[in-house]
Amino acid sequence: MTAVQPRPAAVPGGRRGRPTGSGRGGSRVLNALLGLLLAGGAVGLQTLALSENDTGAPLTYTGAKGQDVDARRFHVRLDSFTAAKAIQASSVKTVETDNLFLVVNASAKSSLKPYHLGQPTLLTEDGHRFAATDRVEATATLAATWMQPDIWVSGRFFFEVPASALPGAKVVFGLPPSALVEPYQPEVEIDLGLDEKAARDLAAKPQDVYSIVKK
Amino acid sequence: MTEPSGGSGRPRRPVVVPAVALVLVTALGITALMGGLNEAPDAPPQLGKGSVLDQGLYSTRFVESRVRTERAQTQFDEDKRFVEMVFEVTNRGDGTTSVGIPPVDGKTGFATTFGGSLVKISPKFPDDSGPFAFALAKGGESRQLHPGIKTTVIVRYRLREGQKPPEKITMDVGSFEYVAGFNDPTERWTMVTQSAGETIVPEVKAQVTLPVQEDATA
Repeated sequence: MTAVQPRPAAVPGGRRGRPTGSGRGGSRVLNALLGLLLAGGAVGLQTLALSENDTGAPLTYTGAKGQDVDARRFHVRLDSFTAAKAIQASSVKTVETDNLFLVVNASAKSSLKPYHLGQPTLLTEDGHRFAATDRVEATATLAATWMQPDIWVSGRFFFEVPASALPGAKVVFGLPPSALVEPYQPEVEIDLGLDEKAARDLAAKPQDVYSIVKK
Repeated sequence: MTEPSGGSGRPRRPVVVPAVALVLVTALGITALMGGLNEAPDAPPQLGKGSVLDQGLYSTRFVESRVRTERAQTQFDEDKRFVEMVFEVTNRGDGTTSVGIPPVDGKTGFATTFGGSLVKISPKFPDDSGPFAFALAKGGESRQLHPGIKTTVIVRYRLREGQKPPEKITMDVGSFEYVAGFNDPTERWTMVTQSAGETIVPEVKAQVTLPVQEDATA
């Protein structure tokens, strides 16, 4: 079974000579299979390709409640959260809701230069993004405070969401929107760690009034 | 069978083929003259009070239109009368959007706000009377439409002293689609448009007419 031996026999016999080398015929089938497998794999990999929207998405640094999450440009820590039925914004103004106010206490510092945080969004398990509510003035939130390098500042953020949005929800902090479009801005995504039961407990016992009035 | 058909079929063939060709060419000509095979633009459907319209990004119920008087809160304030249009809007997108205001005459915005989809409101109101738009929240107002939530939205114009409200209000309502941009491959919600001559105008999905109800409290 040298390579030279079958070839002279194959020339007069035409194509019929080839199957004489059974190993060769098998390798052709194998090659074809391998080719199909590789082609299939290549096609399959395309489904994993990022969509145009995902390619332009911000760089997300994730973490859990109570953890200092480093987004390189700034650090964010979600200290605690609570639910309320109403928020007393001033001595004469109390905003109420039929849903829930989710009050998030967070701390932040920047790394090199001062920044403001933007209003965060609440990312629910089914992919909905709730912007922080505009019914509480932005000046009452942490977004109004400058983050300085190495100085932790604390404050609150307010969401108005239905109770069904709570299980599996994450809070996404980022920089405020700017006119200058900057790709790959950092953002911090912190899981509230609420499973079905914890979310139900939180929604079942909201505070009646959460006051942010400075005494 | 083969022989008679071969004998009589041969003279018929030169007649049938040109005749069919002639009919086809004529049909083609008539089609071309009448504007081609493009779908003729239909008049947008007319909707009335209480109807629901799928605007892509929003599912909207046109509740009613009414005259409302806002009583003065302080002694320096005065009573204000408004013509209001009431909507129930469900945001079907993934993110919170803004209520927005209807585009002011002559300046067609292509905003993806709900207000931006009320492309044209007639009769016209003077410039200084509005429009104002906001979402009703419990005991207050908001400018946000949160995803998956049904929100009552009010669009209103202020009436001057003694000004009679119109009998009915007609709105041209546009819609949105989630598509890639013209020169930007990322997908986003954009207003459905059509070309009108050299410009691009929003496509009117439906024309909604609401009768204006008189103020019940006055």
